[in-house]
Amino acid sequence: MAGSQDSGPSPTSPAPVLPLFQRSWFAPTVLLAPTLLWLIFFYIAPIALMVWRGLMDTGLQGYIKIFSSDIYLKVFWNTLQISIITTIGCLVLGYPIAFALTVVGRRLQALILVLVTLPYWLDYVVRSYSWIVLLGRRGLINNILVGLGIVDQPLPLLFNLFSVCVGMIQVLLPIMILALFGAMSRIDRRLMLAAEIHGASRWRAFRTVFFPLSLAGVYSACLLIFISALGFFIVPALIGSPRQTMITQSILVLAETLLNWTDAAALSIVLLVATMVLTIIYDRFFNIDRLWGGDQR
Amino acid sequence: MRDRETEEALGILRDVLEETRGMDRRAFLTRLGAAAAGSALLSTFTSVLSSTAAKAAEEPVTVMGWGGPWKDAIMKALADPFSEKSGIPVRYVSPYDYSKLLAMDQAKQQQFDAVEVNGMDSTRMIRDNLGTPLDFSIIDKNNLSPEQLEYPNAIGACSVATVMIYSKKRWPGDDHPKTWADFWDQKKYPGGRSLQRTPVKTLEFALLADGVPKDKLYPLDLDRAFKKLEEIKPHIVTWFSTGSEPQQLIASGELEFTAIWSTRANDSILNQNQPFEIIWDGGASEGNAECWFVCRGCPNPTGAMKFLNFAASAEPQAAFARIIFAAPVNQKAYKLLDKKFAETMPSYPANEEKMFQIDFKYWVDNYEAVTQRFETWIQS
Repeated sequence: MAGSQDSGPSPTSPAPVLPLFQRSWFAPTVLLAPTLLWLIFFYIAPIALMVWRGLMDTGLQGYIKIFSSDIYLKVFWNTLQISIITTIGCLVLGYPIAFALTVVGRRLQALILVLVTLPYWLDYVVRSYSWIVLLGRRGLINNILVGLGIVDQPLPLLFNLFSVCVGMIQVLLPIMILALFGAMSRIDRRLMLAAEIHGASRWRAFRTVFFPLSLAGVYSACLLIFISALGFFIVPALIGSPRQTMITQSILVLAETLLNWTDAAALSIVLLVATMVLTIIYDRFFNIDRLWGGDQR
Repeated sequence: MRDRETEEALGILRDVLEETRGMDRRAFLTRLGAAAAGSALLSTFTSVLSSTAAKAAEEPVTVMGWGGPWKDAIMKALADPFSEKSGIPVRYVSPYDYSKLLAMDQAKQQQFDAVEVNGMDSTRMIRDNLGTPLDFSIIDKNNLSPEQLEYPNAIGACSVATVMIYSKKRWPGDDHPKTWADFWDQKKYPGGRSLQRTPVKTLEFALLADGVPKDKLYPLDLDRAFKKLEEIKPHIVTWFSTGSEPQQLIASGELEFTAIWSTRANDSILNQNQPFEIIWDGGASEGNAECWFVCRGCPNPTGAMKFLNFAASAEPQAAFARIIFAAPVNQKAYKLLDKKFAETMPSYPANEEKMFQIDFKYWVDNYEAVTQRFETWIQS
């Protein structure tokens, strides 16, 4: 986009007629066409059809029901609350690891990356069950705490907000670390060196130079984690209580067991719209390109 | 009416069942695996000899059902022996999703040929007429038992129940929980307990605990049931939604007693040798309502009928029970089961009479409204 002025035709020379395949729109269009067609057929069209049929059959009834019933408002609130806690938790745990990845030697870096991504290949269900073994009333942690006399009664660690957030942070942490690592690797290290040459301590150089530069990556990674968290259902279903019911669980019950597709569609659309609005707001302020590592504009 | 191939396949299953009578699940599976491998060799051999190339071109039967261990059991006990001899491949689709079945019917694009659905969905299928009339020139009625033909256009597939189990480690003596009233009694029987996250069965258990006799449950007194549930709510460790949850949680000591599917209870006790005991009293039986259907407008109805003719026979039903502990509906299958094993099955008469039958007609009519109320209650 930056080059749009200097390539424009000057008034004195006639615009050269470029062959089709050399025109600026040609290559991107050809390259994107298969994906675009795929998305239109298998994603956009079915969703549009779902919305259309919902509106034709029952009008806004599904939407009105959702926003006027306490149960769905509570489910929205649960989803929001859990997603925010998960995002913050991932950030707090992931930032130091991502930073460490950028300063350690190549071998250690490779090792840490393997360790970070390894659990990602394990099934969600298996990972959720491992939390039961650790966090249960007779789980490892409570056995140790009670055994050492630190607490008298086992702590309620399982089947509550705590266990859901712990389980979700564990699932999403690798993504957070990788996203932050990608963003941090692009920061020019010589800037910190320059700050230190000018007399800044290491901490000050980090605080005033590296940290502000990493914020763009932090926002992108947080958005990614937050949106992923919105759609979770296995973790809250297995290690949460009904009080932590998230929106996807409600959609599943409506669509699969109650066969109430109108309300299920309405609830899905609300989730979709919320995610899109969030993405658009983000794009206004922070530039969506950064999410996929595009250059900063 | 049975052809030679079907007879052979049934014969192999029958031999394995007889040889391993009284042995555990692992022994049965090992022997079945060996027999399958042997017969596969043999059938390759014979098909080379007779060069029945037509066999390979048989149209597949698409079957929808539950995933995981259920799928494995269906394949080993029903589908593989059937395909081996008939040459008709079985394509098994999971996870179980009744809404998909319904959506495909509405779009007049039914892709499932044969389905095995739970009691609730059987009742829905019959109400919405999603099945197709069975062709009894292909399905041999002589091999079925009357219990299997209780519902229109359906054949009884298996019988499952939801029961209470308790840990014998916690209550080794005779003073253990015996009724739902005991399950509700936190003072007399303190400990972790769990119920399924569904109003079906759970409300019935609450009413039984409150003293309603099991033949007077329906129509449910909802206010009374919810009031009774309120008492136990703080003591419920978790409201499970998958079959493996209560199984894992009682094994790891998180629960002392729990509601659980009879298949899972038996898997824990008979297969994993866990010290649990089943309380059949007040259990919720699905009766003969879990059925096989051939779907209306499906691509391969003839293949599906042939498959049902095989799957609903005594031998596959007995083999299925041996693998996944889902009881046979075909009473002839009991002849192939050891008495001790038979006594663990929910369709065994002595057990069945202690339980109540879930009234699926009531539930199909009231499911959505009651579920909304239940979910609102449980999430608050």
